[in-house]
Formats: sequence, structure tokens, C-alpha cells
Amino acid sequence: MKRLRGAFTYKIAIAIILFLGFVIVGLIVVLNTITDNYNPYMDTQQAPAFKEEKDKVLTTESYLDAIEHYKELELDDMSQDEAKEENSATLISQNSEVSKSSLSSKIDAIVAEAL
Amino acid sequence: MKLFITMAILVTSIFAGKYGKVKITEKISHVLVFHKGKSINIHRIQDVKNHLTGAYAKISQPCPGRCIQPIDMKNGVETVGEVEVISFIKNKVNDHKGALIDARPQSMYNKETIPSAINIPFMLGDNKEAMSDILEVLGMEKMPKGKWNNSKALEIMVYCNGPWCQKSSKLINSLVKMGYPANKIYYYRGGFQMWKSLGLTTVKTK
Repeated sequence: MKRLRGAFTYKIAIAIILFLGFVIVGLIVVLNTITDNYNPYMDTQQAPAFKEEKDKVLTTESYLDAIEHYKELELDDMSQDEAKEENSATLISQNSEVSKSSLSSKIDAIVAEAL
Repeated sequence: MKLFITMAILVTSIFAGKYGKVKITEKISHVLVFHKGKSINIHRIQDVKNHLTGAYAKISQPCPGRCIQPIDMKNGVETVGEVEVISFIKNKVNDHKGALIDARPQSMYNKETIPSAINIPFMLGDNKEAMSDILEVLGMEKMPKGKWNNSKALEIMVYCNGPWCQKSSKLINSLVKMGYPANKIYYYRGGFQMWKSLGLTTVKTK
């Protein structure tokens, strides 16, 4: 009688473990599928626009359009390169009236003599 | 007096507006300096599409010869940037308490330089007689037995072509070796290339 009861308990235990195993594996598969398909824009008004934008970027036509647009920008940059340089250098006459006692004049005289 | 003050405020306001698009710092649009007796406003080029052209637009220089210079000269000389240079010109050079020194050769100095700078070519560093005369002009006092009294030495700021130029370092080392106090010397490492790349005013001698 005891043997029968032991065997019965053993079978129930294995059945419970198997059942829990199936439940856990099932949950993992279901949750995985849900997260894979999750789209943060799914329930919002932005969803169609987001999709369209994504499709637009991926089409060859829009890619070529983007290249054309980039070329235009590049041309703009080149025209900027040709912008005339504003010369900020101010012309000073060599014979400007400078006090001979000034530091600049004294140094100039020493340098001129040494060179 | 009232008329003078009003005129000064008016002129300052006009220039502040003229150079207000591209200022030097948030608070400074221009600085009035004197170069060989002529007053000049240091400001930045107001055309934001302006590009650097000519020799100073070159970004690569052969090294050895023109190698990138360290910030710290390791001899007690302080290294400074453009804002400090402008402040030095405004507060020291304009008040005859300091001198901005261009260490490049005379031909380069005459071609284009920073307003208010004086020229002491670096190669004079080896000419003891000339350097001795220069030290006296810079406020050093000759003492017996070849010694120097540096108590009245002017504060000086030295620059040359750019961060890759060794001319400033050579001149500074010669000055320090002769007894000029290192704490009265400043090294503008960016030099003329950085000055021009920021669109700051330059002068050339006819």
C-alpha cells in the first residue's frame, strides 16, 4: 500500500514539474513575441507619419534626392569660400611722426644698427 | 569738458555698434591702441563669411624646425592667449608700462604685425651688444661687473609666427639668460597665425 502511495506521489510531482516547465517556457515565448512587436508610436497619432518617414528614407529615390540636396549644400559652401576677404590690415607710413624718445623709435634704431 | 565727455561717449557708442556683430569678448568690441604714432582700433573682422588666406592659412609646417611648441616654457615665463594680449595692450602698452614684442624678422614685421607691437628680431639674441642696449631701453639698469638691476624692467609680451614657431622661445631664452626677470615676461604662443585666424586687426608698414 505504501509503495503504491509512494509511486503515486512521485508521478504527481513529475506532472507538476512538467506543467510548471511548460507554463514557464510558454510565458517566455509569449512575452518575447510581444516585446519584439512593440512599437512606442503604435497607439499615438504619430504612428503613420513615423512609418512614412522611415519608408521614405529607405527608398532609392529619396536617397538620390538626399544626394542632390547635399550637392546643392556643397555648392553653397563653395560660393561662401569665394567670399571676398575683408582686409583689416591698416597701412602705417614708415615716415609717421613718432617721437624719437618713444620706446618704439629707440628699439627701431638699435635694431637697424645691429642688422 | 562736458562736450569732450559727450563726444567720447558718442564715438565709443558708434564704434561699439560698428564692431558689435563680431566682438572680441562678450564685453569688449574694440580696443584703441597706438602704432608708430597713429591711433588704431583693434577689432575683429565683421564679415562672418571671411576666410583666412595667404601664408598664415597653412596648417602644416616641416618639423624638425617648425615643431609644435609646449604651453609651459619651464623657465617661469607665463604663456598667454589673445584676451590676455588685448588686455596687456590696453592696460600696459597704452600706459607705457609694458611692451608687446614681435620676435619675427624685420621684413615680416613691416609686412604685417599686431598693432602697438615693437620689433626685436630673434636673431639679435646672439648679439650681446645690441641686446645690452635693448635691455636698457626696456628699463633694465646696468650695474658694475656686468650685472643688471631689474627692479624697473618693463613687463614684456613676446610672440612670433604661431604655435609652431621657435623664434619667441629663442628671444625669451636670450633675455632670461641676460638677466631679464622671467616673471615680467609673457609668451603669446598662438602668435600671429592665431591672431589672424580670429580676424583681429593687423597693421602693415608702407
